[in-house]
Amino acid sequence: MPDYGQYKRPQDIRFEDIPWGSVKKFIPPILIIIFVIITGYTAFYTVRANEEAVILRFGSYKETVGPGLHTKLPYGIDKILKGEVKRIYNEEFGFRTEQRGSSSMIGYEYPDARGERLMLTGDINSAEVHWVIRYKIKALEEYFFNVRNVRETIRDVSQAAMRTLVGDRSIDEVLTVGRTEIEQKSKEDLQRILDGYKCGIDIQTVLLKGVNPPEPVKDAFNAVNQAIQIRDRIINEAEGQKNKILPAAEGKKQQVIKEAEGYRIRRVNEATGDIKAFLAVYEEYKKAEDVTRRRLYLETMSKVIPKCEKLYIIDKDIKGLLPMFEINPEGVKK
Amino acid sequence: MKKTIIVITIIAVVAVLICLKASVYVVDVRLQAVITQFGKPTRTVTEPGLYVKSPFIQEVRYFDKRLLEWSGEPSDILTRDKENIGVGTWARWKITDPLKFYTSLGTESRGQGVLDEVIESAVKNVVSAYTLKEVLRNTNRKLEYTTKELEDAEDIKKVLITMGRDKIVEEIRKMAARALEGRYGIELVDVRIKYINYVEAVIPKIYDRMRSERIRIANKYESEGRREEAEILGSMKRELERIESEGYRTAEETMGQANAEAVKIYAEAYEKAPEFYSFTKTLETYESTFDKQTHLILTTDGDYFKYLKSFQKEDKSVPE
Repeated sequence: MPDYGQYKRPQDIRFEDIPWGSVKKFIPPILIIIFVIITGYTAFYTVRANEEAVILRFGSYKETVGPGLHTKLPYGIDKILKGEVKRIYNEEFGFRTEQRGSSSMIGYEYPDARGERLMLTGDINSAEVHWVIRYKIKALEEYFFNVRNVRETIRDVSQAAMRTLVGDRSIDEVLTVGRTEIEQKSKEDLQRILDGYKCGIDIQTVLLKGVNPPEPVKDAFNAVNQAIQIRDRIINEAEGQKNKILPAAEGKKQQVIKEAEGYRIRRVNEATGDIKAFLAVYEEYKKAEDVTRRRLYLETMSKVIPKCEKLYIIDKDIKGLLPMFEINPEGVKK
Repeated sequence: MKKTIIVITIIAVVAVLICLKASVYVVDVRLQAVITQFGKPTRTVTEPGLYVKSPFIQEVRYFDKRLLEWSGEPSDILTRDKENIGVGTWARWKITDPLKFYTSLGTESRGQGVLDEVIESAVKNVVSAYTLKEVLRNTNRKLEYTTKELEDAEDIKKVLITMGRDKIVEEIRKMAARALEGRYGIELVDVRIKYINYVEAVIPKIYDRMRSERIRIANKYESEGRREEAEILGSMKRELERIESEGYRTAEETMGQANAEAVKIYAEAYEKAPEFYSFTKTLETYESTFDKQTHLILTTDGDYFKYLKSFQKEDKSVPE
């Protein structure tokens, strides 16, 4: 038995002194275990639920597999490229969402933000356009094999497509009336160009988040909206006044007409009444004309004479009557 | 003796592994390779797979087979109508002949350098041959506006686009592609204009123009409102006059007719007894016209006082 009780410096240990016999029998199992671990480690892989994986065998495309635990040939013979095919990717232009979730922060200041959103319209005006595109990987092999930098390619194409559309439209179309059309067409153009590159991307939506006139001219654009409101208010007020006054006048007119009609009825009725009375009296008068005539005369005189201030009775034979009266205006009056 | 054999065996195995490693190589589906012998290219491999080469003598150089990006520096260009604009372009390209690419350029970054020169000069040449509108606009579509006035103002300019952006960009691509053709093993797949903007110095002027244009529209809206208001109030006044005068007319007409009818009724009746009418009516007027200021002078000649002088019956006293 070797003596383990005494310490020996490494250089003092001689090769022959190592008790190889006892170690030797452990070497093969240890090697086998190491071999198995490495093999296992490189032969299994998992693909998560939202992923797919492309398998390359000696660099050539072999197949695409879905989620789950899979085996492959170990030691780098099979290579795995995983991609999130169910995820919707976002690309933002002209702004950046800095914090996702409930308290999202939108950032407008980052290098070249202004260059990204400032555009010239077809009538040589400027507009600031913020938009976002959402896309998915529709063919993982194409995504990996055909284009080196897919994300940058999408950004480049989207900017070129958007600017081509904006450059072919008026400032009014870009700001208001043409927005849906721009979204639609820019999605089509983007998809068509990317399909031309075969980069395996499916554009879901292109959304214009905000299209504004540049900050220095914003107030002038707002002034237009205010002017439209002022115009509408003025017109409405005038209409209101008209609608208030005219019906009242119409009512007044009807009143005057109705009153006149009333007057007419009254006048005719009164006349008819007067006539009826007159004729009735006349009928009786005819029966005893002389007497009635005298009576009517005397009745009237008896009413009239007492009313007068003075009564002079003059004999018919007297001449030169006038000197009797004082020619005095006051006397006449009194 | 036994130990020596073990050592030799181990060394041999390692050596074989190293040789094996040096004589096989994998070409990824995304890559292509040029095999060089003492630095001199011998062949290219464009299909993916496992390949064999002479160890140590031959070397493998990989190049990307995919579509590669290129992004240009913004360049200031004077257009044909003397507008100073900044144009940014990007391109997508491919190494189609790795052997030629390797011998002429060697590395991808030198490839990017060649593209910088070729594309940027093509952009300058082509864009400066067109007006700003030609580069900006893509088609001859009619620009739409929310106000008639702006639409007319745009119509008057009579902009006619003969090329448009897409065709100009295609011209740039062709020009650049011709310059690259056959020399570098590069295919220029696509060139596009990323942006066109005025150079910083001109932008304030553009803003001034936009501002004055909008203020003009705003004023127009407001005066349009005033005009319409005046029109409404004017027509209201007219209606008012019409209604009031119609009322007056109808009322007067009705009352006139009433009076006429009354006159007719009276006349028809009095016609029957004109003497009786004048007699009774005259008596009535005495009643209503005499008052306490009246001095009445009567002679004894009249019927009323004739009995004051005599009570003799008169034959002639009965009228008619």
